[in-house]
Amino acid sequence: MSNSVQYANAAGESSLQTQLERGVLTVSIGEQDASFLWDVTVIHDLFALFQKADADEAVRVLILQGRGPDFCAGLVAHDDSKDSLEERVRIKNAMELVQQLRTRTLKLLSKPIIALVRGRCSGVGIRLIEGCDIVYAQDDSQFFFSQGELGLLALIPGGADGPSCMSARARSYYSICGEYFDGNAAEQSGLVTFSSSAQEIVGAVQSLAKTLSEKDPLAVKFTKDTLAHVGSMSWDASVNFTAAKFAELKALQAVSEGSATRASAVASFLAGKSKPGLGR
Amino acid sequence: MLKIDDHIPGARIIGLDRAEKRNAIGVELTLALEQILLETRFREDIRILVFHGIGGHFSAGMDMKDFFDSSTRSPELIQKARKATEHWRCHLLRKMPQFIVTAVEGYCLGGALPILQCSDVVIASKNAQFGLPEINFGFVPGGQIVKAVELMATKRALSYMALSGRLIDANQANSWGLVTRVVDEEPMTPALELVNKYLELKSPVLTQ
Repeated sequence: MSNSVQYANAAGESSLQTQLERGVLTVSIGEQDASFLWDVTVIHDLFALFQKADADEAVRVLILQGRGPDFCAGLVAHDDSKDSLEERVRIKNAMELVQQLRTRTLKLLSKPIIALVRGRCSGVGIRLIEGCDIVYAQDDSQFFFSQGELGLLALIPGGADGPSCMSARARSYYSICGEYFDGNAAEQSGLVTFSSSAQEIVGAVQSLAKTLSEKDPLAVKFTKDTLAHVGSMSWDASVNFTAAKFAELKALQAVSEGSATRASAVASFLAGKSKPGLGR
Repeated sequence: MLKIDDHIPGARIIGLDRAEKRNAIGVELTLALEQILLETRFREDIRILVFHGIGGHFSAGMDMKDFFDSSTRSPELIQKARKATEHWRCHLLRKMPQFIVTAVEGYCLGGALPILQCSDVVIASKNAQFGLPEINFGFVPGGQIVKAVELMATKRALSYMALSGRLIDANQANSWGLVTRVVDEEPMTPALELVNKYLELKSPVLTQ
């Protein structure tokens, strides 16, 4: 276990528990054996953690999961006992952070993020996993756009502001009706990548994390850049973007000790010794 | 590089014919693809196109020996081939007035995926495998390929394929939108059945 960066705070009060092993940083949110409602602190802790992990070369992949039975049981959006201007400002700022996490921070993070969802995953949790690269959900997970969060998250009826990875129809339906939907429905809607059984989900996520941790980190970063940007480009712009990225990647790999995989993989493939392109 | 079959009136069957390289798209193949699409585009007598691979695979993607670090081709030829590639996969294929059916068996990787995205129907055999393996070599999938996959598959599918480099099977490709139908038999038989049904349609204008 590497301790290159301290992720949980020193007083042990962080809402996050972390473990870094062989390049895989597993982040567990909340408390063990208890349903856990997120609050503003969780969001700030997550934001700070992602910034640290992005700069930490020891981290190749992140796994995000709930520490207890749920991924995200809900958000303590408003505390009547603290109904002050300062509290409302604090919550609104936290919501801004959530927006930034889902639309920008996670997509531009140089490391891939896998979310592992079990139990309940409410609106704010859905917003977070939207920004993750790959999401595994247990078949019996329960996703829902919590009514209690609607005011703050401002989901527009019709779903225009819902998760962009979901199909438009599913987004509209679930954001309006507030129904729970399980892992299989989440997979069908595009919200998650795979729905998996309770017996298989941890193994599948760990296997994928290992696969991702073995990739050239520069190639991973540039692939994420490509995924984040080319969708909104014209075809010609995507050609130019690719040419520039290829040149930059090649230059950086030439001087990076950690990026020997490219030359060796190509040479091995051309010599007929291995077939990394086919996953071997 | 290409096997062109015009034996069915109204149809043109384009076979990628480089079986010894799993139909990897090299310099000659990409130049031939651009040429045949230019020649076919304004042929009013051709109403439907069928793409397929000869030798058990659709295509293993772009040929690394020709296009990447270890290429022994002249810079001028590579530049010409790259220009042709961008022409057919970013523009020409998207402007073809014909109905396009693609039959896939074996590998369908990387640079071959824009052909799928421009197809109206994709029929895949159970043994077909799809993927973006570039990252396994320390490369990045081209923006044009990523854009093509994003237009036909879910965002989750694209991220998984591009970041993991893992191949997916035909049923997963069907579920993610890359494929229309998965068949037990070799896919050219149902593809040709579809060609005949299409050619029986009374009004070609309405189907374009």
